Amino acid sequence: MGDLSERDVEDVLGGVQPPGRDDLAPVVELTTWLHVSREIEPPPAMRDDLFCQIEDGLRVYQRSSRRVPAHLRYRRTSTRRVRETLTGSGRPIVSVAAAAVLLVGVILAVRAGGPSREPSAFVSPAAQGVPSTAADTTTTTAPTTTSPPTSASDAGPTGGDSEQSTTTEGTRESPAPTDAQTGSGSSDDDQAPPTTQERSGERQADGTADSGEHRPGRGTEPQSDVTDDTEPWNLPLSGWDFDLSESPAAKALWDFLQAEERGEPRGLRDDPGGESDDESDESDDDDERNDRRSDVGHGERDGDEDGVTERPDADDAEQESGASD
Amino acid sequence: MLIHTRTQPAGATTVTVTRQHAPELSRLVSEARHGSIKAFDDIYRSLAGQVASYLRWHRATDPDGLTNDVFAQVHRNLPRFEGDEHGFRSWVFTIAHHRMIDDRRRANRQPQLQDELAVDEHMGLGDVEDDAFAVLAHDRVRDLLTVLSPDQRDVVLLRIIADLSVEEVARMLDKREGAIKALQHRALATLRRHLDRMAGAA
Repeated sequence: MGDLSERDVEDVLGGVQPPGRDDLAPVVELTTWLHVSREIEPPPAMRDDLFCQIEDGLRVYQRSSRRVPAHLRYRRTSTRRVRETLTGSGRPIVSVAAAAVLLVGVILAVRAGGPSREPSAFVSPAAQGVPSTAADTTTTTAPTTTSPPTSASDAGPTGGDSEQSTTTEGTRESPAPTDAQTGSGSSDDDQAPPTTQERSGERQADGTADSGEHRPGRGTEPQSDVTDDTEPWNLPLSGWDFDLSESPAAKALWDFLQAEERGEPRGLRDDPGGESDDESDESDDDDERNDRRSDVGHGERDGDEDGVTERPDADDAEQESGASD
Repeated sequence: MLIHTRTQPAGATTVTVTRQHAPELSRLVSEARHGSIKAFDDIYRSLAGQVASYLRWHRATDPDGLTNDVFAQVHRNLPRFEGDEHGFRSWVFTIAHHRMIDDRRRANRQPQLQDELAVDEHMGLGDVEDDAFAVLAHDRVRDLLTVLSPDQRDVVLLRIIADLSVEEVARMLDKREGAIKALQHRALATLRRHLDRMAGAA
């Protein structure tokens, strides 16, 4: 086969017999038949899957050809935010930080704003310059309505009259405005706190003790004392309401009046301040406590220890004891 | 190219070739890439027969099915194709060649009666005498191709059926052009010797 040139090969493959090469005629016949078979071969029938692919694919292709470029394509805001969050872009971090700051701010506002709901109803003993004791603490937490400290032990429904006579002298605050704190009291409580005179007159009209716990008919909810008793120390001095229970002269006067009621001759002390008054108060409280134990539950005793007016309702007393804790 | 043949198995062959002005393949490809179903259908009509013939000469088990598979892949990858008419033809036959190799491997794993399956039902020319001559010629040519090595057969069929150049065949088979020329030269020499031997035996 060395006699076959490259041109002869190309001619044979093209179905053309090279000139002067009759010996290649059978091979040329073969290649010519291959050419013929290629041309006469009809295209096979198109299968359905191929036909469907062409139609569907071209439809998709036509849609995709009209598609807006990816970087210009609109995306929904929510999707974009989610993607930005996943990709760690700056905006969500700022939002989270802002949310965290807002949450902390709300918590602080709730904590600091609790006592400020009724700032005028509390008097801080620190503002009065009186040393604070346990009894004082509970006394100062008691809002505006005045009542004698001994009324806590006498605070039964029957003991209200004597207390009213003493409250006119403005000796101590009583927890009667607790109703105002809880918001469950009368409409008068929701308004500007009345003076002690007004409140005493109100109590006389009701015929009950000034303490809210003695007025179940008014729908009081003394459980609000539980939360409020722990917060009065940060309250500002209101300026219109004063806690006279811490005044030594007032205490002495109150003790004197109580002693008169009990028939115990007891004169006014020359030096009514200091711890002696507290001790006398405690002794009075003890006596009253012993009297009351037969009438009410142990929860009232806690209230007596705290110097808060007694509450006939055991549940209320429990809440009060929790507040004192 | 329209070919009218009068083949006589024992003697000479009269071949009349008339080239048709087929639609320019590059234009059809461009239109098909832009979503023209008609353009792709024209491409299929102009090339599917050649692909089927190429697969049939390679004794593929199902030339028609493989041809559909080839054009399905062509359709899927058409948006990514870049090139001219010759490049497109080379690309289509490259896919067909790979399909043929896969089919050959499958056939080797599952031996079948491939000779009986290769029915020349598409070789009919409409005339009974011509069909008879065609069948005889086809069987003869197919027997002649069996004397070639697989590489020689691939080169000859790609050069003739696919109408590819030496460069395109070399690129398709991942061989050098000199190797392709050597293969086609040896293939023709083998055929000549075999025909001379047959003629001497007759």
